[in-house]
Amino acid sequence: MSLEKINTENKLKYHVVIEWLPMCRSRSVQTLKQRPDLVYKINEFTKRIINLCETYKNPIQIDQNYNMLGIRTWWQNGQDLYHFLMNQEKNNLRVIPELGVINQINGKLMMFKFQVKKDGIFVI
Amino acid sequence: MQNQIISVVGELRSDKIDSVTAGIMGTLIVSGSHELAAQANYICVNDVDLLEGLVKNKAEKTVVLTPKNYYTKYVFHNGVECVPEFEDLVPYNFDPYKCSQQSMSLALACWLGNPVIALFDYLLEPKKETPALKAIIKLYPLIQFLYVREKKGNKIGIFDDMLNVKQMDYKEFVNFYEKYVLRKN
Repeated sequence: MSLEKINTENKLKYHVVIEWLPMCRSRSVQTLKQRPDLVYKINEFTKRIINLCETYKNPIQIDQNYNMLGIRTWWQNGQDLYHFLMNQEKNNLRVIPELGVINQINGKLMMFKFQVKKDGIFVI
Repeated sequence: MQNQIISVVGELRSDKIDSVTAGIMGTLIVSGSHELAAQANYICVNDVDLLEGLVKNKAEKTVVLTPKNYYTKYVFHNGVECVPEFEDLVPYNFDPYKCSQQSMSLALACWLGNPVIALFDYLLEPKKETPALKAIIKLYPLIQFLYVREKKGNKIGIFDDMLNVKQMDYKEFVNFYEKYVLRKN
């Protein structure tokens, strides 16, 4: 698996945001300029996410632009994302429970809330 | 050669579609669990009981479309999509949960857009289905609709006032297709 750049051929369909570690959340770029310790943690966290994503065989794109909420990720395969979401606790991660899905028919992004439970993911 | 016909297979469950006809139907939209579902490009379904079986047994190329509340259960599945909002039909209170599956298929065909849309095995029924069909046909005067039956039998008069509808049997459909494709290429 390789982390692909945005391109329509990949048909990246699903979007979720993985929250930063608690001490890094909601930090402005201005703040980060004065806090190299946080930048270091953010970089280490990003590397961890990249390593995790590389265990999946289908393309996943990690947005390189800084987002205050967390790391924006785009997934091609629903089963990969399902597995990732089910294992977030085990991996010591928290994914913001909002799922973006691009409709293959009209190309529009649809947003859903979801809940991860032991017996599966419930999309609302 | 590109197909220039979109075919909608309705819910009459009466006509047997032979292999010659099935082979030239172009983009195929099937309503619910019709026997042609296995070769469909799209299957429209708003029956929850049918949905699970169709998703499990669908061909790889087939996309199953269903309304949003039913779609949520299959978000992570490959080849299942939420039926789009049909903007042209919003003023007519088109409801994907309450309409028939064949109306949904027809709406999808019109939304996808094509100069010719053929209707196969399409149920006509005076209370709901026929008025819905006529309303949609009227909404798209530039689309040529073909109402195709296995055998034409008595000519149905309900389309007499509609210039963009032709009725035909399978043989006539094959002839139409050949002429249409030849003319286009």
